[in-house]
Amino acid sequence: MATSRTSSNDAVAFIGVGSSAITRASDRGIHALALDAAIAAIADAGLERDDIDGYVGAPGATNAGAVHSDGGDEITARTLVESLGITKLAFSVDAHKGFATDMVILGAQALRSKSCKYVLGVRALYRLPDIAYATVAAENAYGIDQFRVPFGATAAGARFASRAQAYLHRSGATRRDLYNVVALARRHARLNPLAIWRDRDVSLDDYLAAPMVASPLGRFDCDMPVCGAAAFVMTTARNMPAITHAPAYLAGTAGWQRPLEIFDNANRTRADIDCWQIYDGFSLMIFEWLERLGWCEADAGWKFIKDGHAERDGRLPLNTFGGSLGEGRMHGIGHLREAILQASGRAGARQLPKASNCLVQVGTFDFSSLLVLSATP
Amino acid sequence: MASDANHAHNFGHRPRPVATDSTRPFWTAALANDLSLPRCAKCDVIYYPPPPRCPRCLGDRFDWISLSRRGRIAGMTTVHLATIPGVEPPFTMVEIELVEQKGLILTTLLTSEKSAQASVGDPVILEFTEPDPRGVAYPQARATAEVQP
Repeated sequence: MATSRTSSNDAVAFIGVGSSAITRASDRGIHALALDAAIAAIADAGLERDDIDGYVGAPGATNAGAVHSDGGDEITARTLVESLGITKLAFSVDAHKGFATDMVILGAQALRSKSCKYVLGVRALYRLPDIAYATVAAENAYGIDQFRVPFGATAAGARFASRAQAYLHRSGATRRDLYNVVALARRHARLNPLAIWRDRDVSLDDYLAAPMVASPLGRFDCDMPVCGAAAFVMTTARNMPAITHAPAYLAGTAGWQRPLEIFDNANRTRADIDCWQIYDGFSLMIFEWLERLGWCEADAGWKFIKDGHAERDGRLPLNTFGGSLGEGRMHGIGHLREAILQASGRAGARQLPKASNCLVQVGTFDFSSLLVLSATP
Repeated sequence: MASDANHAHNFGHRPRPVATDSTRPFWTAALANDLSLPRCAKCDVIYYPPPPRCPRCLGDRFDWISLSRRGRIAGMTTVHLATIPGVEPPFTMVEIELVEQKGLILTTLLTSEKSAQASVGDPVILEFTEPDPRGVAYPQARATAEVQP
């Protein structure tokens, strides 16, 4: 996205959000959950399905044991659009392994190029029964996987756990500091009726006693696989429908190789950012991105959490919906949903007193994108 | 990750690497317990995993060189789920920084009996397993007695 300001008519706005229920297992399939979220988002936007002329998805199931089945553990644009009865699409794309933030960037580009007027975005996750969620069930390892899969690097968060061990080694942080991230997520999840851990605080003793997954990451350092979907509707100011609530605006975007450009691209400074939704598939990721975006010195992110700066009344309220560690493994669409709700003043019991500019980062240290969502264009 | 969904099918042997011309020299040398990696003929940079082209100059001329197999643990984790067919958990995955070049990292398993006591920074030596029934020798790391300077 260019750093120059676009004309006000071209300002990209989020006008609707919707979610399905989020559960650890579901007898309703991913297809039904994705429809729940999509229908809710279109209604929230004050639109009819015939108004939807653009679609963005990111259907990839990312667990090592995924079977990549359309309507099984993934839902594609083709299947979802047809079953929604949408017939007037001018633009649709599935960003394969992209993140929710990438869906937004694609949708914004489609709107600004006038390919379409109303973009629906849907992200759905599903924990299939009768599979080994984290096991690569493959006879052969092709391509880059021949150097990763036989060594366990792609499953159970092992490559992130290895980084976490190195981080603890050089920073002086301990598992108690990882616990602080998990406990924060659980506290914030209390206010999120969708969160699977909404009424389940975790004590330090419980945390330390939980089974290890990939040291130093235990069960509660890893987001819980869930069944659920969330959706959003975007448009431009020029095509704003008559909605009864405030929209949230897309102020700017950035990619992981030049993440600090997010501030200039959004025409905001770091001091303007009121809250942050940071991807937390594994607890350590919070430290890495706090440091990378300059809120802390290198290897000091754990102190930022320990000192309370990420609490609701802290300097930078973090993952105010509980994050993936509190809500469940929605792979970043929960982070986006929360930023939309906060920036539009619709977060209910979770609403922060000041949430004019919300930063969203979704992804890993080596593949990620960032957004700023704002109350004003 | 769900540890309770960890049953189900398991092929019983490690996924077999399917080589291409970019990677075959590595697996061939492995059968002779030789760690051979491609070094860009122009940039003199060594790469792992073996790339089709040098990411710096985009050239595709590499010299395959034998390395000392020595390195240090740059990162590690002990995995308690059965994530690799044919490998019983817990196992320890290590990221080894090879002595030949800063930032040259090889991800493998640590096999020493006391692998749980190993620590980031510890010296290791890479070896290759005996070829399995499908003719694959996998790299693995073993903690060495070398005292840290």
